[in-house]
Amino acid sequence: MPIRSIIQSTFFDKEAAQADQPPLVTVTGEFGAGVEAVSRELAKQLDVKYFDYWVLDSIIREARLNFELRKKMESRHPNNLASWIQSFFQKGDGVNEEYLALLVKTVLGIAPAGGVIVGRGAHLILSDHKVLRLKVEAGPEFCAKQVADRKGISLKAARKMVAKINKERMKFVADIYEKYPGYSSYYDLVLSSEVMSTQQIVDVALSAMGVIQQRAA
Amino acid sequence: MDTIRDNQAFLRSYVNAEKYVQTSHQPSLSEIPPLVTVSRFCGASGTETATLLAERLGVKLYDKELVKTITQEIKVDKHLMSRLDEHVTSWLDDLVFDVFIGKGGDKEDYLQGMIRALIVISREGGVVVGRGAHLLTSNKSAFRVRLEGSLNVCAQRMSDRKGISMREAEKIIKSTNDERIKFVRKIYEKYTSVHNYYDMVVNSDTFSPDESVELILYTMEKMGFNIPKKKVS
Repeated sequence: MPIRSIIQSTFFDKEAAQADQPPLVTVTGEFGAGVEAVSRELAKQLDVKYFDYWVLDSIIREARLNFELRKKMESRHPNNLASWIQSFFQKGDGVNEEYLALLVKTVLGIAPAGGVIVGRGAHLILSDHKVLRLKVEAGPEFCAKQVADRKGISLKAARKMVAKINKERMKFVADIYEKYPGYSSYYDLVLSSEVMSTQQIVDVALSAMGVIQQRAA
Repeated sequence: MDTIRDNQAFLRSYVNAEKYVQTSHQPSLSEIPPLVTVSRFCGASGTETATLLAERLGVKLYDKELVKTITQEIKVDKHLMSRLDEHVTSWLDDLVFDVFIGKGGDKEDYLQGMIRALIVISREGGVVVGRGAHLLTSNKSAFRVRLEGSLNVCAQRMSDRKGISMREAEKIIKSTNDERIKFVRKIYEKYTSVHNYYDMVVNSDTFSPDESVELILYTMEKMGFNIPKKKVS
């Protein structure tokens, strides 16, 4: 789906922010653990949109230039949150302050419309929302093997790539956590892709959402 | 006393179970009684969840004391020890196996004892709480679960249960977790694996012990473990 259609249906269409919040899931995991496959399948089965790194970054780029979109995002935050985010990020001294502020606004703006959000510290940003925070985990050797097979590179090169990308991701999440600290535990559920297939992980995640839903009802 | 007699009978039955000792057939998960290792953050209702899980699976719960008793009883039975050691290879994570063949010492003694105990327990299935058992079992032989929780929620739970202040509860949780981490590090420091340590981690902030058990059973069933049907009362 083109990014403008995603923005339109997520932030502007009437049915975008429904009274009954559609399913919201954040999915995190090591590079090579199969996060993308699990997230896509979850979004498909839940019939919600899928927001990966590329989609999130595209929305943020658009929000930088689009005042109406920024206003719409801010209107979806709880009353005092927008000014709090602004003041908090203004205290920072890094070049990424604007990006991080827009990321928080984007993720909080997506929440009422539901979706499956991959990575980017969304599990921290949404920790006080009605959300399933899923982590798909695998050991470094398993991840390297998957990456080597998928990209057709040597195992040695894949090991290096997995370690580098995971390090960058950890640094990114640590930056978010520093600016947006929460008190609750990081994930609701962690499942191993070393022992479970994509479909098995999706089935268990859906079952966990069912448990939460049933309790709320 | 009854427990000791139970264990002795249990161990004897193991020695006589030729089908487990001499077969070359590698049974699938659905053919073996379920073995689950439960690791937990202090205050995350780990013991309660493990107890409920053992009940639902129809297997015994093995806590620190029971594992210790079994380990000691195996140690005095040299015949049983040698029979068990024939099966060590099929049990371990490959990296653990390399070091297991080590030269002895307290840590190796402990590990060998734990491994033998786990082999015995596996015959009838069981839920083993703590002791770093998750590091010794491969994903082919056991389901490895961890119960997590955030400090403030776990402290609130403990404070309510024990009638102590939040501050005291936080102190107990921190020191207990430190001790557990130290114990696992001390015993298993050389045994770091390239595989991940758990098949599933459940957040007790989000899920109650009953809900956690249902999720664990559902996951185990999906993975091919043999799960008894829930009894309708």
